[in-house]
Amino acid sequence: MKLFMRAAAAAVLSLSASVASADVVKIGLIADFTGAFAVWGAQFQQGVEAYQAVNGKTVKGPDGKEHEIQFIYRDATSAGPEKSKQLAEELVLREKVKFLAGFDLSPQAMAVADIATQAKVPVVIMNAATASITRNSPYFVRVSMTIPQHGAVAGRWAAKNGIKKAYTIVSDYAPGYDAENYFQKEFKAGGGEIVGSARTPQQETNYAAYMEKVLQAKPDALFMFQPAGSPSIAFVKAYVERGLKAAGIKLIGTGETQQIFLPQFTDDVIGVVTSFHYTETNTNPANLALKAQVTKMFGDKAIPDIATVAAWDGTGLIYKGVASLGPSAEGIKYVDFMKTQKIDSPRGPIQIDANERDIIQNIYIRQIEKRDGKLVNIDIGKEEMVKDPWKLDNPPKSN
Amino acid sequence: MTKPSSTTTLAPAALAPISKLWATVGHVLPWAIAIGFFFVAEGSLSIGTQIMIWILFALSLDLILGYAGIVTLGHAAFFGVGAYAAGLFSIHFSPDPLIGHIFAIVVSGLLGLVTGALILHTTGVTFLMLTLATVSLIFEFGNQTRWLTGGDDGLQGMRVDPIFGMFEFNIFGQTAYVYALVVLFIWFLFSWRLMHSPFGRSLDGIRQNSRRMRAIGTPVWWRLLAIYGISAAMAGSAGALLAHSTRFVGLSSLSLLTSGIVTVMLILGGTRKLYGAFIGAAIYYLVQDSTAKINPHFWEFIVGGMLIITVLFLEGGLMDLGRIGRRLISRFRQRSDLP
Repeated sequence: MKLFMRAAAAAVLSLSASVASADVVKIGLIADFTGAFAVWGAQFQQGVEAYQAVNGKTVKGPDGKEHEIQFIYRDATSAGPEKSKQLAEELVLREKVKFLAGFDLSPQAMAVADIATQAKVPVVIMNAATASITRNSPYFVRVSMTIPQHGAVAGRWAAKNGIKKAYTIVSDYAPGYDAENYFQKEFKAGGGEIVGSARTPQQETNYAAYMEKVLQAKPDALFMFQPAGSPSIAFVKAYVERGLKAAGIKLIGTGETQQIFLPQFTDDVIGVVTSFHYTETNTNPANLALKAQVTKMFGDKAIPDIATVAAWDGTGLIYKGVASLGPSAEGIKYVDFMKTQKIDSPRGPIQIDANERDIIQNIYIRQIEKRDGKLVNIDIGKEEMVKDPWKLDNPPKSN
Repeated sequence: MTKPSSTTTLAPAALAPISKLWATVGHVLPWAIAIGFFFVAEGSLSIGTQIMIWILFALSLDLILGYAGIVTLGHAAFFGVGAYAAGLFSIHFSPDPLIGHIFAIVVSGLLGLVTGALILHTTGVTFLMLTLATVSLIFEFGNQTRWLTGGDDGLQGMRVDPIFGMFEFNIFGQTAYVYALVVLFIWFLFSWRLMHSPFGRSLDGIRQNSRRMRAIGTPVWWRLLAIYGISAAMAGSAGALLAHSTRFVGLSSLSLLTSGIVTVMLILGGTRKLYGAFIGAAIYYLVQDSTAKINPHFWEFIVGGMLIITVLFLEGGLMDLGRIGRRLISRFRQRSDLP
């Protein structure tokens, strides 16, 4: 039976290779287009379509022929990881995709690790931010970010910028723990002192009691990690209303003030400092091109943000791979090619880690200001080419 | 639950009787489809596996919701605990799927008995609230104990051995499909036998009038506890199938949404018929999958619309379409009998 399976596997894989040489490179993009996380799918698609509109839908391979790049979108419906696994199997077996891409939530990416490894299909992860993901399959390449990158840089920045005592409040789930852990670790390493910490329920919107405790601890800064939307808005509101801002306690965050969420905040948020990998107001040529293209194609209401940027970069990475290896190379060859790539991303320079296949990028320190009546993030500092700190702390086990 | 909720079990006399032949066809058809699908669905067996897992889960809900009249929103607790039990067993004890499966059944069954013993003395809305509390507590436990469950990141590092050392779980999904089909079939036979036994009939009675049942000497609480435990074990079995076929467990398996989806599936298909779970889960999943492919922003609308129409016009779910068909046929026959 085992032998039969292997034979069948070989047959299908050779079949997929022969189909792919028909000059169409299919890429299966799995993301949530409906349900609670629908915003990610929409942004991925806009990022891909904007890139294809600027760079064309075909790529000239090393053989001099134009190869069509075709994206197939599949909705993971904000359901469990088994859904994304099912979609990935169908995309690989039926649609014979050459690459998989997308994945807004970490469990969705982890559930396809087996498929990627068995079918030898490279997976370009465009959002999922749990640090360990890329270790799950040698075919995983990440172009987005990791949670520890943001937390660690925030901690180092705070320690270097006159903050002696800090308090942390994070949302009570795995990404929150990672952010808390890396902020505290780097802050302490820089000579800072953690005077208190708290974890809040994921859908918390009443932070008054937490803020009172922070006031009593008299820190110089408060580090937060809260889910986007109502929790982070309520958090900032409580921070101002309870007099923490007036007391001179600085509020430091990470992704809470992303551009897509900013319009929901009131002016309370002005002065909040965040550590993040993409600042919408940067003037990189790639960023201006992306913003102009997204506005042109999808109107003023479409706001390009991290998922759009990651999809733009991920598509670019695949284009480069096809341009240099052609449409029908082995999966691992594409991964090897991607490993050394440097890209001028809309966020700034980025690079794929040659060993970990993970993102290396600048992490920017930004402050919220009001310009022309609009709340915006403005860069006030940066740390260059930050690797994922979790991987540095947890070197791969040698076999 | 003290009031008789429905009396639709009594078939109207005017209905054309189902001939033995048609009844046999009805019984064989779903399994024939399932076996046939195995041979024709190259590359999309995975969706079949998913559907059977949801059928089993919906079937387990039918035992308590449909037959015993226990209205719950906490059934995902047993599904998720079964999935995590199977996953953790494969990581920490043995990657053998069958032993892991039995372990998951035992764990979720025991959980059903323990939580059932605590909350089954209540009824109606109180009970509903307590099931909500149970599933929320277990979800939060899964979220907090990151060292054990991986928390929000999900359970990583599952390894599953080939079944009987021969049939590997791979991307083609044949093993997972047959595995799910066999498990579903065993549970179906078990449920069928159970619901047509005196025990099953007594549940029917309890649903319709629990006071009267108590008056004639039925140990109502014990009967409800027994079916609650059995149903939990079955849901855990579905969870174990999910874990083994996905080789990954996410917190979503414990979420309230999962409870909601399985309830929608069962109501769509029709309660108290066992096969309702088959139709409901299959239709829900297939409609979702196919409409999401055509337009990712559309499927919720279609599924929602279907549910509204079903609830408004088909009291017994899509299974009622058969009844309506028979009624039409008998009416047609009556008319043609006239001179």
